[in-house]
Amino acid sequence: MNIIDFHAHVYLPDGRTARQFKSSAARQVEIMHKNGVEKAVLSNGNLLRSDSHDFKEGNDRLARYVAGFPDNLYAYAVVNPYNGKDAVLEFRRCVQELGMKGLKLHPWLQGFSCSDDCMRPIVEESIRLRAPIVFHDGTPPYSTPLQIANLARLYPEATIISGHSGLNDLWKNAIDGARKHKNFYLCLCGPSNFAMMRIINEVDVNRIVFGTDLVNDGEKIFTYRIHKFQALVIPDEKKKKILWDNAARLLNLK
Amino acid sequence: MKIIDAHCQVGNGVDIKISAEELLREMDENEIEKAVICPVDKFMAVYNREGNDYIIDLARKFPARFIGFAGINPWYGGKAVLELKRCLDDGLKGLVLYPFLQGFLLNDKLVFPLLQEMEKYGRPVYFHCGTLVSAEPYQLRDLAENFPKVNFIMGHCAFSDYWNDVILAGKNVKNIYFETSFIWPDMISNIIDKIGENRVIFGSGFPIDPVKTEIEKIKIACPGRSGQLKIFEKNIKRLIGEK
Repeated sequence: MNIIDFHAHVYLPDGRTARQFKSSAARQVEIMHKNGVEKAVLSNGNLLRSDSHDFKEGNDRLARYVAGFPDNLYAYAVVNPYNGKDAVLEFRRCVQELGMKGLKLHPWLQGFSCSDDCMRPIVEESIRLRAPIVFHDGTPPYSTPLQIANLARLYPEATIISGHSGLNDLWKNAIDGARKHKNFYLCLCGPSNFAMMRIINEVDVNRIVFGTDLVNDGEKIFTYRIHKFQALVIPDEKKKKILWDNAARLLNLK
Repeated sequence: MKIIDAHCQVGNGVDIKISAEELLREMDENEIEKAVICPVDKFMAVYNREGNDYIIDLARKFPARFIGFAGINPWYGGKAVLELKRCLDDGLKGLVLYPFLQGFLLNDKLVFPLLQEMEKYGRPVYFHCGTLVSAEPYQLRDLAENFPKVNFIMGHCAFSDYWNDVILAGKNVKNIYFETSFIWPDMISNIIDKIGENRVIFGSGFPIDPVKTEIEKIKIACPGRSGQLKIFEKNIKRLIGEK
């Protein structure tokens, strides 16, 4: 097994949200292993909704979920940047106390703009924590690659990751952002193979990671995205960097 | 099982460069019997006649392998209608429109003259869908309601972030069909569940995505053989009037 899935989720039932998935970490890891994925980084999907308020509870729940599989499952914290100081403290708590690997944000689902001042203390904290921020992207008006790349421009010390590399319509802008900003990373999760080839050929390969968008034990999209990536005709050395090395470095894996 | 690929592009464009030989090889490797072909980027946007000539020529040379669809920019107005008639009279079976590339709102009146012509010929219209502002599912529904006798194909099931809209936009409008390239398999399962197998059409999007994984995706989304028969073959044949 030689794949790290850098963009995955688990929706953990909280009795409140409409989207309720059955979930078990063991089942999720089983599906990962079956498909050659050794490690995945998850966010708690329930927290990515604009009506989420108890981030501490949701992040704790995710920490408990991944705890049984410390070599396979890793966590991203979720906060809402509009919560100001509270959001910063929660991000810090998740990284320092719960051992989470970074922050996942979804500007359009959560309802904030990356250009809003509320993002500044969050990015500043990410620099102090040396923790990357992964963004949903590819969808206007709050989640375009260049809106997200702008944070990389404002904060050269931050590690800013485009979680979808611009998807179907904006992958060219993901390339534009990555070529200008050395701290802007692209996760291949959703763009066509045509777009992935262009990204791999035009962007520093040390700043490309791979993700599937896995949700709980939803194997359909998982195998689809893995097989699509495997269909790319690129040197093994590049594949290894994208599927493993770069993600391992971002996650500080030994 | 016969497989017809309902969405492929071919031609020597700016971004996309793919020859008929390369497309045929991809089809052969994946046991695709026939593919719907349309022009690529610049031929879709501005050099319509040149692009369509290429498609007409290929459809004539390989009648057992290719089904040609015209690419026409509605901004050419009366000339666009004349070009469409020429293409249909020369054997092309449908029209592809690409609002983002061609620069119009999907349901703008600009496109009506072309649709009126398509209605006369009884041919389907494929829209590249899923781009914010210019190619949205509810825009397609509006158009489909205004032209109830024309069959519309929603390209890519409006990938990516219209998952909230796709079912609602298509469910009660019987002349909207869903083409499967790019979209994740769960969405296809959902459409089959809520709307039915009769309105799902397999397209790979080649060369933007490889054919193999797109076929595999359909088999994941629709394990049943009778559903696959419709999605891979029968639905598109019905739309283009083939037995």
